[in-house]
Amino acid sequence: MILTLLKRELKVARRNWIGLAIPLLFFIIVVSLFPFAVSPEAPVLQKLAPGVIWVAALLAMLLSLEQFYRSDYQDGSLEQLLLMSSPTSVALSKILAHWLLTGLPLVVLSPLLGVLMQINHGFAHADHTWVLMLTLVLGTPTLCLLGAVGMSLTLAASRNGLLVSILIIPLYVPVLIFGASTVTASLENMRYNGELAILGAFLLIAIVFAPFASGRALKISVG
Amino acid sequence: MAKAWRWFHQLGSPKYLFQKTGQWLPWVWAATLILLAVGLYYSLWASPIEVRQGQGHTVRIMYVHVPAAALSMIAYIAMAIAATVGLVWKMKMAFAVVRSIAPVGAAMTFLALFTGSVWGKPTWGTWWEWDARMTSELLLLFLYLGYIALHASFSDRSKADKAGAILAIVGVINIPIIYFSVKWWNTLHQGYSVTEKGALDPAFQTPLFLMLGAIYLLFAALVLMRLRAEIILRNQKSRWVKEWASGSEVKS
Amino acid sequence: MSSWHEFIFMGKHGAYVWSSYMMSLIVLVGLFIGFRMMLKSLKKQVQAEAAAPESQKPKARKLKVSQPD
Repeated sequence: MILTLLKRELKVARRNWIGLAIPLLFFIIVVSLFPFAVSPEAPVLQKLAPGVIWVAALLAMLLSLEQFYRSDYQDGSLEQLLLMSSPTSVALSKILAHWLLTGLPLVVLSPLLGVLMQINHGFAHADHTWVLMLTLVLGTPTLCLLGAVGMSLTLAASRNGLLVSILIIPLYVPVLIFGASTVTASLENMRYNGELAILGAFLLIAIVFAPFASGRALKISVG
Repeated sequence: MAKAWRWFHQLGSPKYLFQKTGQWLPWVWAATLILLAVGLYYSLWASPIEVRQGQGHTVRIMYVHVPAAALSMIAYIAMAIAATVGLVWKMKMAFAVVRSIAPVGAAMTFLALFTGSVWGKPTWGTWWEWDARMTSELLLLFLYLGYIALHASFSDRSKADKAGAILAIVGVINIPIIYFSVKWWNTLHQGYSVTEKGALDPAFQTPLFLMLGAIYLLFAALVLMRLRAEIILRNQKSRWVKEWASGSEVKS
Repeated sequence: MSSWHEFIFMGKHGAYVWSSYMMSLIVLVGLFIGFRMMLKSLKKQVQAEAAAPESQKPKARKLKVSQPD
């Protein structure tokens, strides 16, 4: 059932590929502002890198949320979907599609941003890029899950866009803290297994609660 | 038990709740004012200054800061409980309670932040410290404002109620996670917590507990006031509201 | 506390202590007044509605109130 729903999501998204590319472009452009604003010197950029890349990824995830829900809500296909299958599986398929089409591309793009932010400066053989990708692999699904709850809640609201950011950003803070500090720990040659484990724990907690909550919220928005 | 259940169901009736809160309010206000008067006497006049840590008179800020901070957390938990009651038992008045707690809880959170900041200046020499508790409190304020913004964004009140209730529950699951994360992040960057005060001297406990009780009651009184307005707002078409507006006592 | 002077100046921290208490007072009294006015204006609107002759009553009505939060 979820596979069928997921296939539908991916098919719908394919027609809107430019809408999918914009958040990725945003991700790169925001990060490339920092050398202009702060300093192009490698040590400075390297110190900022984990935080800047993570904040940019978080904002890109927020920006991309809308297109997975809005049009389906407006043209009534969301109502149809909810009649056909359980709310939780509808929410889950949307979350999966969002991650596959935004979260995963962000992970793939992140080494490029690591290069722009001089993440390996001063290290001959360093795996900071891998650590960065790993944190994003563990962190972005949590962002998708929490974002889905916020987006589903605001679907029927008269104003949104920024509203969903206000609701969700406080909930993103823990992921941001552990995501960015894992990379920082790696840059300081410290162990980071604990932080990674906590990121994984957040993901598990979110998987348990968020699809259900998001499904309920979709139902409320439509009903 | 059966009696308690019946009472619980009766509270779900707007008219009954409006009557009952009208009966309770004068008593709650009376208790609040008495406790507040005694509490203020102790906290501003009859309690000693802090010597051991050299805080002097600024310790008096604690008597509003700690109760406000405690209420800010408890109010959010109360919101989440009322939201659960509303969603599980489909009780509309529970949603009215959630909506009524939000502004008062947000005010408490703001006061906790404001007094914490004012206390921080003479104590740590700075208006703001990215300390674990202050930061969590700031995020809590965002959660409150998020709830109010969400609730205000629907034209359909029952949708607003349900969506807000889900947000309150999701938020309450996140509060411990946020607190834990911020605390961990804080120790990483500073290695200590500036609000760690150690055991409280008994001399400071009397005013603190008095003020804690007073602010609790004040909170309850304000929530009840907001709730009464909310009940009228939601039941404008009922006949008993018209009778109430025309000045006659609301009869059961 | 030994004197009125000390009570007002609170050592040298009078501004800090009193601004905390004053801000709390302002916010809480503000809420009190706001909630009171809200209930009163609702009452007035229901009364005005009841007093209006039958023909002037709009079909669908909705009370409006500025919510002080």
